[in-house]
Amino acid sequence: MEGDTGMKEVSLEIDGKKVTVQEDTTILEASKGVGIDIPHLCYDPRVPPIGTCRLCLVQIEGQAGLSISCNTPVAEGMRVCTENEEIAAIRKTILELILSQHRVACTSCDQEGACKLQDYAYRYQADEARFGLPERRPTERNYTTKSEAILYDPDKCILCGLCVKYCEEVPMAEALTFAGMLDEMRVSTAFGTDLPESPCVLCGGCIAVCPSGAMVDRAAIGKGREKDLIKTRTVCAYCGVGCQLDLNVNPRTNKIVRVTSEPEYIPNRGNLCVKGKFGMDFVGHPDRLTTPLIKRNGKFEQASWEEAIKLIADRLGQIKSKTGPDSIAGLSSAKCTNEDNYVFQKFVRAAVGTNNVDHCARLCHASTVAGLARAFGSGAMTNSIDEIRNAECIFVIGSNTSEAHPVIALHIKEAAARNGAKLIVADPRDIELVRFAKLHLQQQPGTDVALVNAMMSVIINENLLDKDFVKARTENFEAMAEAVKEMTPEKAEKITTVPAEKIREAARIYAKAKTASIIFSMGITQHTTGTDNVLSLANLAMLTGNVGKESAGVNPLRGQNNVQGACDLGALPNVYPGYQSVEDPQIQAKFKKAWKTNLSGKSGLTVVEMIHAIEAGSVKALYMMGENPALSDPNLNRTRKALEKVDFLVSQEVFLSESAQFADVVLPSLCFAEKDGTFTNTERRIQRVRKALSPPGEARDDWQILCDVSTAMGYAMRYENASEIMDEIASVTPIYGGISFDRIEPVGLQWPCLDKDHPGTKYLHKGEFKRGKGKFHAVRFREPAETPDKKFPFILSTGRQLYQFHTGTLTRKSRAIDQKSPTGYVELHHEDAEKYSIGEGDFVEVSTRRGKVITKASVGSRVAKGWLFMPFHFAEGPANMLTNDALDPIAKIPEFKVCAAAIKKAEPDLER
Amino acid sequence: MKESKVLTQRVGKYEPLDLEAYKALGGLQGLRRTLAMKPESVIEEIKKSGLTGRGGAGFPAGLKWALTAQEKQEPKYFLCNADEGELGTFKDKVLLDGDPWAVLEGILIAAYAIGAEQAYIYIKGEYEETAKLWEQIAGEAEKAGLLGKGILGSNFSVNLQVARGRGLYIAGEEFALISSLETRRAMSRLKPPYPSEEGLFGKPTVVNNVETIANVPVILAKGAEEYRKLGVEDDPGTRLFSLSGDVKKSGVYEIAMGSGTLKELIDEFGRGTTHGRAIKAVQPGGGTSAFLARGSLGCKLTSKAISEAGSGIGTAGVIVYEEDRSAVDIVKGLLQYYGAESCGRCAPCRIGSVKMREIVDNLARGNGAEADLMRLREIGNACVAGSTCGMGQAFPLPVLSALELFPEDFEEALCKVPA
Ligand SMILES: Cc1cc2nc3c(=O)[nH]c(=O)nc-3n(C[C@H](O)[C@H](O)[C@H](O)COP(=O)(O)O)c2cc1C
Ligand code: SF4
Ligand code: SF4
Ligand code: SF4
Ligand code: SF4
Ligand code: FES
Repeated sequence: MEGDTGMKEVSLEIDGKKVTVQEDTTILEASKGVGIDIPHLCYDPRVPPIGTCRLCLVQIEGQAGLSISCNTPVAEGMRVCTENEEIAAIRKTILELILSQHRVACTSCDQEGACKLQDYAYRYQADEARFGLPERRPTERNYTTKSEAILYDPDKCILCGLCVKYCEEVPMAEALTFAGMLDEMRVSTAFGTDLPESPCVLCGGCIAVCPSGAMVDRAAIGKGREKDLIKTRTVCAYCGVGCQLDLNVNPRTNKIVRVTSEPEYIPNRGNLCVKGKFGMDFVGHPDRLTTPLIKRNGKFEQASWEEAIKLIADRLGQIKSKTGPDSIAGLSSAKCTNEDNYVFQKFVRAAVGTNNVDHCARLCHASTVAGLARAFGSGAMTNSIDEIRNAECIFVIGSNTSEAHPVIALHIKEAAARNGAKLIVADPRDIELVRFAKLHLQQQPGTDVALVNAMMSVIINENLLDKDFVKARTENFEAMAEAVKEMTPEKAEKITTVPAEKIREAARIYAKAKTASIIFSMGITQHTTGTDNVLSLANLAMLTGNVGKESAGVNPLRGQNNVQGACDLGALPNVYPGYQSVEDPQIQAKFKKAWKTNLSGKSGLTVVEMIHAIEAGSVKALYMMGENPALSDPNLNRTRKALEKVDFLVSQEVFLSESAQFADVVLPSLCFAEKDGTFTNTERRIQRVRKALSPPGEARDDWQILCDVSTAMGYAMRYENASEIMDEIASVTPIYGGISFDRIEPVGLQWPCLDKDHPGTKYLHKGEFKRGKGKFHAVRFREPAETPDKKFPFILSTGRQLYQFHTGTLTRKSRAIDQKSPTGYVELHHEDAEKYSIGEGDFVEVSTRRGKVITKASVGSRVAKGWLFMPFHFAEGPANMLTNDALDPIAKIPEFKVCAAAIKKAEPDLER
Repeated sequence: MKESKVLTQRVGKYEPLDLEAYKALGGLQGLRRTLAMKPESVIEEIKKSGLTGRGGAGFPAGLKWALTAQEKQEPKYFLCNADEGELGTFKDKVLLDGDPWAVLEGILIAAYAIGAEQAYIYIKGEYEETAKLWEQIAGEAEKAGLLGKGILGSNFSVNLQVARGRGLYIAGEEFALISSLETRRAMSRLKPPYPSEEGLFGKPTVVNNVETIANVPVILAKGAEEYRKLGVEDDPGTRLFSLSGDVKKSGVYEIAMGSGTLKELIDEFGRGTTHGRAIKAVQPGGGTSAFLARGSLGCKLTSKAISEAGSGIGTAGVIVYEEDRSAVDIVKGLLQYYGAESCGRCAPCRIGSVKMREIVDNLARGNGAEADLMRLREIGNACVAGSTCGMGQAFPLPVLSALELFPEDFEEALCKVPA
């Protein structure tokens, strides 16, 4: 029998019970499915079987000896006995042997009461003294002694090896190994180096899979026993992957004790990255805002909610009546929930009466939305995260996935290392994924169009295109073909520095694969040619018929946890929720009716335009919800000046961020762990965010605050809860039409989800593009806005780093993270470093036409000669002092990825 | 009973480095024939010969090659296991030192058959002189066009790396050996996947014992049919028996399978026991094989007969114990060695091996209690049934068989003073 996955099903008998499962299921898993609990200490669905505990032995009829059920696949007609006298005796002995080396009292263990070893020992009546009571040993230094993140206790370790295997197979970091023999055996790093100095990426997986209490979160020790904690399932607050996780809260202290995740969670399958795992210290941080603040004489003073809201309503009302609604602008937030964003844009549009609403997606993916909407009719990831693992070819361009979207990188690495996918990485830097790639195309920053056009010219010349697809599903092919014709690989080599032969090979691999998935991120979008870049990737996919099917597609990875949702819900100046144009009179009429008020029919200002409008004096008030433009916007000096200049600035925030410090009124809001609502991840999955903690002080939900301000301004808004907001969203937003809180339990739904019976959409454009036919665009290579010259001889790129997020407001509150990533740096090639006599860790001054910063040098070969890279998370060396705010003409995205820079060794510190 | 010198025919007959002498004594015929055949046919020939592994597990060599050859992954590797760590076993050394070119010829044929371009020979750490010799052999072979590109003018190319063992018994286990070559900890792995599927650096790999591989040129030179004329139907060819323990003359003797009994081997080649005492027990297959008591010594020298008698042929290392020895002391000696060698992967083997050693030491010191005998059985059973590799599955066998065959020795050793 064939299941719908093409996998055969087999029937067998386990302890007399008939079981039918897929053929690659193990006996252990099949037994679990029918409620037979075969004891096991070294099985975890996240890792391939390792078979070290030997507890899961079973007898298979007709086979000599016993087999371990965790590594034996089922077979048709098999008859399995999971326990008999012999097996029970062996299990008991093994447990007694393990206990003879378990050198600690369970009474002092946080795992007490939730420990498999304890359970099995009880089940088999294992005598812990059968082989002698273990001797206590003096505590010795081990590889975790200095780690702020993890504590390993060899006395509790049963040496199952799950942690070592996880580290090797999932993050593929290979940080862990075994050291010592027999009694002295223990987990360690190579040569016992301290964990922070090892290749460990702090994913926390080793803790997650550990069946005993041997590997634990250091910060959690003594903060509550496992059985006393309450787990609330919610969505990670950091990146757009949208990992589902459990906040483990001690109800007595109202604190998050640790973060865990389970293998059945989507899309992360129980895996996390450092930010989700160790980045939650900010939640209960003492610096959290607890009361409204009003600035008087340049100083913040605590205020009551009534006072603060009245002041805001009054000032905004005055400005509105004096200079008109368009002199007010709002910055919504990709960190806030869908419900917050919906209410925010409704507030700006209905209560203030302008379309001046935007959010930081502008800074990341506006060009994606613009480009993909033009080509396909819809600006989101075409496919699902889970499909990546089965793609035949994966083309990663301009995405340092391992650092910016770590859990998606796990899928990519699995595809390449285990499933035979051919990975092509196009990135100026020698990023981690290169280790797994068949080809690395190291293009010069800002030359992506040349590279992709050259690939297409090869595909057309060598007749590797999908003619049927092009004919049936697309239009404007000839114009595109004409445009790419001139870009021969040889010509592209001159522009991109990628050898022509490699470009040819990449084109062939991509075109010949049955399923090829393009994955891109800010390396593509943050350019003055961002929209062009996206369009040419869409061209490439259509040319080879790689859209509208499983495991293929064009997949932009969105940055912030809810940037997809913020866009979906209309925190954009030109569209209402669901990408419905504000300039379309019919749609306008629909919203006028729904919101019972007049609406402006004119598109509003984008983020950077708002700043420029403040400078020009046409925008007088700015309302910010959880945004930090003072650190995230390009050309920081200019942004900061604008924030200083604007007449009235409101900030709804969890911390007094760099931007909030400029505000006239600061309102304390809730962070994700205190909220109910939804986030939409990068694969369009709408997932539930659940309240796990009570909020600090007087802090309130963002949407509630907005409702109060709006009501005070004369436009009444009132909702009982987030679920009610979602119902309103569904009523006005066709792509969310079928969404409601009860329907998205337990793993969410992917939009478009048109009505209550719609199952959601795994991949887009099946059979037909959103816009009808897919449209090719004739895109030609253009130079970046700024190219190196004598004075500024380097190309500077900015970007992200694994350990930090965005402006660092949240991640930098974590001790575990701070230990691994304490400060900013600039990466440069060792030959350049030598030329300027710069050594590793030296202070250097990086300057551009806009400003200069001093930071530390990180010398190596991750960047090529002549290029520099800086992460943008650090306030003390803010990379965005340097970046160019030149804009993409269509999407208005700033050119973060390329500018011309100079470098010199900074004056040595006198103390050094 | 007499020796049948097939693998050992040239041992002592030429200077080990002298390739020309090797050729003059009939060397390289197998390789020459091989290079004119298709790899599949070479494998077919080995299958027909019925050759089984001589490293202890007795797996059919032809099948192992075929499984590896059929894998799609590239490259493939061939490893010659010369770690010879089993107690009472020293036959591989005889071949490595006495007829190295034949072993090399076997390696070349195997590499050709499975499509490997890189071969390794992993030589026991203690065999320092042997390793030096092999470094030289590899150099000479390269000069003579037997290693490197286009071997003997054919399209076939292979390189050989001589690797050194680390003085660990467990490193001889195939996956521990592979890990060791990958410069990791010498640790075994879960099977399946077997080395034929995911071996060295994750690629399809054949691991063969030295003696196994030394049979290969003979089979290819003579043809499988001729080869099978020695030995018995289900156990063709000869084996190198290492004879040691309480015998007058220990040594390595090449015997055609089934051509004599254990007793004849001990009496005729070993010239009887050291002190002329009666035999108490024999381990017929190396230090991890179960004991056979005096009554079983009439068993024929075939795998089947030895299994039926209650032990296993293993590495064919025959260790003889005279009557006056206590089973407790013998077992103590064995555990002294094996009890410190677990790679640590499996819970029962890692902890059980140490515990068994402790318990037996205690018994030998006269401090044991009745319950200790039960404990030994419990641990032994858990290890044998519950271990990943041959180590954990086998090291308790002598202990368990001794408890079975010589309970009185253990009773006697128990502490007589009431606690
Ligand atoms: C603990 C242990 C040690 C071993 N040591 C050796 C060894 O030293 N030499 C050897 O050839 N095989 C040894 N083996 C057997 C190998 O794992 C493997 O089966 C053998 O090399 C395969 O070769 P064959 O099929 O030609 O016998 C050992 C096995 C175990 C479990
Ligand atoms: S935290 Fe992750 S990377 Fe670090 S040691 Fe554990 S599993 Fe490996
Ligand atoms: S630390 Fe935990 S997972 Fe790792 S070997 Fe020990 S018991 Fe197993
Ligand atoms: S930051 Fe992204 S990848 Fe990391 S745990 Fe959170 S959602 Fe997952
Ligand atoms: S049986 Fe022993 S030696 Fe073999 S893999 Fe298991 S622990 Fe290692
Ligand atoms: S769960 Fe199968 S051996 Fe541990």
